[in-house]
Amino acid sequence: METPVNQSERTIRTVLDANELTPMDVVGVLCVTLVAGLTSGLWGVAAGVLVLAVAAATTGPLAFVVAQLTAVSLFGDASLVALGGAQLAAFPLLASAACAWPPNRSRLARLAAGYVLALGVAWALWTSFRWAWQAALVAVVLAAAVAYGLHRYERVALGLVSAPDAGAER
Amino acid sequence: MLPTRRWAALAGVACFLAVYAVVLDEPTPLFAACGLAAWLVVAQVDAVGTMCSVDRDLSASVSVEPTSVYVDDRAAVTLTASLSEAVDAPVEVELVAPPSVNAPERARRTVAFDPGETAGSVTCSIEFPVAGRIAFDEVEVDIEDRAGFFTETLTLGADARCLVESPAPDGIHVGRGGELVGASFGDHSSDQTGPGLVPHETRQYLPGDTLSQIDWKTTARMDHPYIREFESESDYLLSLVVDCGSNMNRGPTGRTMLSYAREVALGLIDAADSHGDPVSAQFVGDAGTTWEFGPSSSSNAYQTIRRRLLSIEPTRRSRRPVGTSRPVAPEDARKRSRLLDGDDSAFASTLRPYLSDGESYVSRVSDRPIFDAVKSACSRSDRQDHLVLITDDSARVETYEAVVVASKRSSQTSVFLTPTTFFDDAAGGAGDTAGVVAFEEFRKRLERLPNVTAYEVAPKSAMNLAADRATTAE
Repeated sequence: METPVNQSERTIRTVLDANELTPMDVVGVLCVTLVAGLTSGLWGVAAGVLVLAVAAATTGPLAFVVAQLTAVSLFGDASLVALGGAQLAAFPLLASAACAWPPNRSRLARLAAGYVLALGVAWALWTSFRWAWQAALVAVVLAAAVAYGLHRYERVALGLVSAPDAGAER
Repeated sequence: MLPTRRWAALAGVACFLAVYAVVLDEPTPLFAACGLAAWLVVAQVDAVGTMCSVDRDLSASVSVEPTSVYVDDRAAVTLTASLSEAVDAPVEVELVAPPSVNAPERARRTVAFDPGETAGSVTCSIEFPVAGRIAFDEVEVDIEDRAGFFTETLTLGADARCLVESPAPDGIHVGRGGELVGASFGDHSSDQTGPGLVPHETRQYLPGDTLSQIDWKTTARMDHPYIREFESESDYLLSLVVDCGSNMNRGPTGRTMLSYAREVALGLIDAADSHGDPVSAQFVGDAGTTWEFGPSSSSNAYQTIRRRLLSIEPTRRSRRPVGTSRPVAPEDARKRSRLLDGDDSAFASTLRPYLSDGESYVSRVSDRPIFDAVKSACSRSDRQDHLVLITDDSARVETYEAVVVASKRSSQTSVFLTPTTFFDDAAGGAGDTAGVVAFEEFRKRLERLPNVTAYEVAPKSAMNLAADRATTAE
């Protein structure tokens, strides 16, 4: 006879079933723990455990965001190499949220290329401007411009732009 | 391309991280924000690719069955969609229903492609409450990208039409033996002279004629006094008896026998109205007269009868059939039966049952609604009248006996018969040859009665079909 399971156990199990850790999550958590541990010792390991818990309990990019927030705390005065290492270590967490398992290789490659390019742009902006708000503003405007350009391209490609719209664009 | 709430949430997190970087003056949150932005941009590139490939590969068609219906009928509308190449994003193709139809909810007229599927179809039942040419010329395609960040709606053309006709008779044939009759009721000559407007003849003056009757021009021309006589005006009472029993409910929606009968009755009322003739009307259901009016020649009378005609519906109770037509008159039967008394031959024993029924044949139909209505219409008239009976040929004995009574008591009798054979589902609306022949025989039999004219009232298309068939047979 089947043993009845109480409601709280069932809920936890359901959550865990729904948020099964993918190999990429595991790789991401290990990388983050390794980099943080090497830089900050036990605090780094604690950050890794926190990221693991978030990755197991949630879906989407929350684990990536938490990893970034812990990096802010731990890598305040870190070198460029340590910062870059932390960002690359967090990438598998982002890729896990963006691509299903097993990931489509070309999609993963496009995401990786975009991620590296975005990091490069962010670093260039951070070092080029005197104030942080200038770099942040330019980054946001740049992302919005690319998104809007893609949106307009899609409208034209699908033939959804009427003649008056086209005239207004000129 | 519309961003979803999921996209907005992620973009919000990216913006928060950018602001956080400014607040802390640290580059790490900005890197995180740029990482998330990279994900959103890559997802958008993927979405554009998916949408362009759906736009290129998707084809949809709509078909309607049947393509011609009557108002308030339903038709099956089928939407078929196919993708020449599977996409890994959910796609929904929705049949756009015109505003004038009653369509089911969206889910029941939508073909949903799950990722990897390439074909699908859906059939829904649509009601058409408005007449006209209804076009299903658009299908809407909703595409969502794989990650659920963007949606897009495309419109594809379709070419499906449905003709929705109003439920009214179209093309009425009123004729005698297949020959169209233009007008059955109009000016009626009285063959009597008197005061009036229509010149009748001129004749020589006779003593007693008044001075005002002299036609001075003719008198001058002929050198003798001449009188011009005018045709005196007369009015006919139009007694209308319309059968609206359950037998008149045969035929498709809006084109039942009663619909055709109603058109004829309306035409007669219009003619009476234009001549100012008094009218009386009786509507007869299965159980008896359901409504009667008149005689009256007031303008309200015509309007009242018209309104009533437009609103009548056939009654629901089935009518009891009358037995055989033309039975032997009871007196003859009794006389012949007496001759057979004491005769034990096979001939006499075979014949005896046929002569045993001594009941009056008139009493067999005397309690029937049509017969009763015609009899009361005839007894109501105390002047020249024109009795018009509009019915079908299903109760031939009753109709025949009613017309016999009318022919004896009315100045003029017109019978408009809708042939049952043209409205039977089994005959497919074209009538079977035997049915048409039987109807025509019955019509001719009615016409042999004095002062009786019998017409057939039928759909023009059915009459043409029957005429073509007869020509081919010849």
